[in-house]
Amino acid sequence: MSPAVVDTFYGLFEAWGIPWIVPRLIIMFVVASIIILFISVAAMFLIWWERKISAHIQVRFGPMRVGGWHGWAQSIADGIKLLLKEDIIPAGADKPVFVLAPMVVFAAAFAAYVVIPFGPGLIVQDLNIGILYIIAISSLAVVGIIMAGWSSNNKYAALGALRSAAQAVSYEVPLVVSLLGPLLIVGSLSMTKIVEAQRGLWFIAVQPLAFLTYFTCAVAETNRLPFDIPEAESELVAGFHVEYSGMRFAIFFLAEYANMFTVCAIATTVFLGGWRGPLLPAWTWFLIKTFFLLFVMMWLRWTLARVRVDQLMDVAWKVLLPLAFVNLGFTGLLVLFL
Amino acid sequence: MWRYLSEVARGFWSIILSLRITLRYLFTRAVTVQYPEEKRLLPTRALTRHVLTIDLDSKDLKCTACDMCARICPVNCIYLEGEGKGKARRPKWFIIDHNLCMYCNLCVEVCPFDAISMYTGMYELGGFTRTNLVYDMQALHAEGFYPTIMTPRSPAGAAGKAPTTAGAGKQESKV
Repeated sequence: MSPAVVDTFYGLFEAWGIPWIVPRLIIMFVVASIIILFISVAAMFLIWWERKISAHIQVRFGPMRVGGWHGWAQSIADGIKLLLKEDIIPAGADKPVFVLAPMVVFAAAFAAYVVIPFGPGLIVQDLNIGILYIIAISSLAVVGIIMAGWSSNNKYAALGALRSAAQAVSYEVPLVVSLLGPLLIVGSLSMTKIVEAQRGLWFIAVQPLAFLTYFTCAVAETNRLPFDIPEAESELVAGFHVEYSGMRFAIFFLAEYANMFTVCAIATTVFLGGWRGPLLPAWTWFLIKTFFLLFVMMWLRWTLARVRVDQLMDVAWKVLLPLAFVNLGFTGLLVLFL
Repeated sequence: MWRYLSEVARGFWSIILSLRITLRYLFTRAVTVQYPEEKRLLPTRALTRHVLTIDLDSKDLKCTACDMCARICPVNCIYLEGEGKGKARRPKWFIIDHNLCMYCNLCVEVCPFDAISMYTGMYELGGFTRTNLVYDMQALHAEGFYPTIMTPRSPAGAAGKAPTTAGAGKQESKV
């Protein structure tokens, strides 16, 4: 939001003699609502899009009926259906934790949107520790997943949650290390500064290795297919959300797609020049790049088979981490001597 | 060290190759047929609902109520009764219960006058009650099918006559 509008807003309330906390809360509420709206619409679109892509890769059509044109309203209809379903809490479940878990997962996904720069000035709060904040806050999702797995009182859910914890902890390390390369070049953690630094040359050209390791880790962090062992349908039924149904399940789903958008938005910001691009407005470029990366994620999902647990750990510790460290070392040397 | 690097590179390359394959499939046309809107062409000899064919000249049923079809039917789904004598003999009533029919085509093959056919292309037989699938004589010849060249064994005269093309044309339009 532009500062002038905000200042007028504050001034209005000050003139009425209302404490500053009130307009502040109103602004927070409005911004949060906008972001939630964006997440919901984006997630619904992504779900529909993923179903379309998966269908066409398998040489079929996917949803075609709801809403007329290529089933565009399918996700909306599904959402309404999930809202209307009975809210089931298993008898053996730990009720408060069970209820809280999807909220924790979603809150973690939601909080990361604070520092995503959709365009110049189109950022909720340009924190000077932007990247660090995202990494820290997105790790919270694991807590929610473990809560879900543990409170379900179900062996598959517990196994899925434990796998998810192992995976998230393992992949967090190369993810952060691969992000350090570009950060060394920029010299700042602020998302806006990172985009500003890519005037002229995107960091994917300077740091291709970092981009590849980051993207692989991002796919693993969001529990998506080549690395989806936390949910592994064929082994664990549905992993940590096996006992969830109706709206609680929908929130997990929403959080998964919100997380996908977040990691792709970070990749766009750090490696693909953020909102930079010719002709079109800045936010369009940001969305185009992000959705292209999301497409690549879906494309990977419908191309590769699921890896085993030991292979998963191998990839994280024996391949991605050394590569990320090599990249970090070279970048550090170059930054130091050039 | 070298082996490790080459394995990583090979794995990466194999992912790229498989991505290329799935991308190709992404842009191939889907094989799905959107059924109510578009329908697949039936094979020419697809066995579908029965009809009693009518003679082109007299516009009358060809059936002479000889009871051959009812007797050969393995599931006894054909019931009929004839009236009249000699060449004037025609069925009084004729009922085929499609709940029972197993589409074996024996009734068509055994018919000496080419009076019953299953090459009609009518396969949308869904109904809400079982009686919807029981066809009486009126329903069986309402579409006005003629004997067709598709019928495998037909008596001399019936196959030689002109209506064959009319029947065939009708059949394709049904598909």
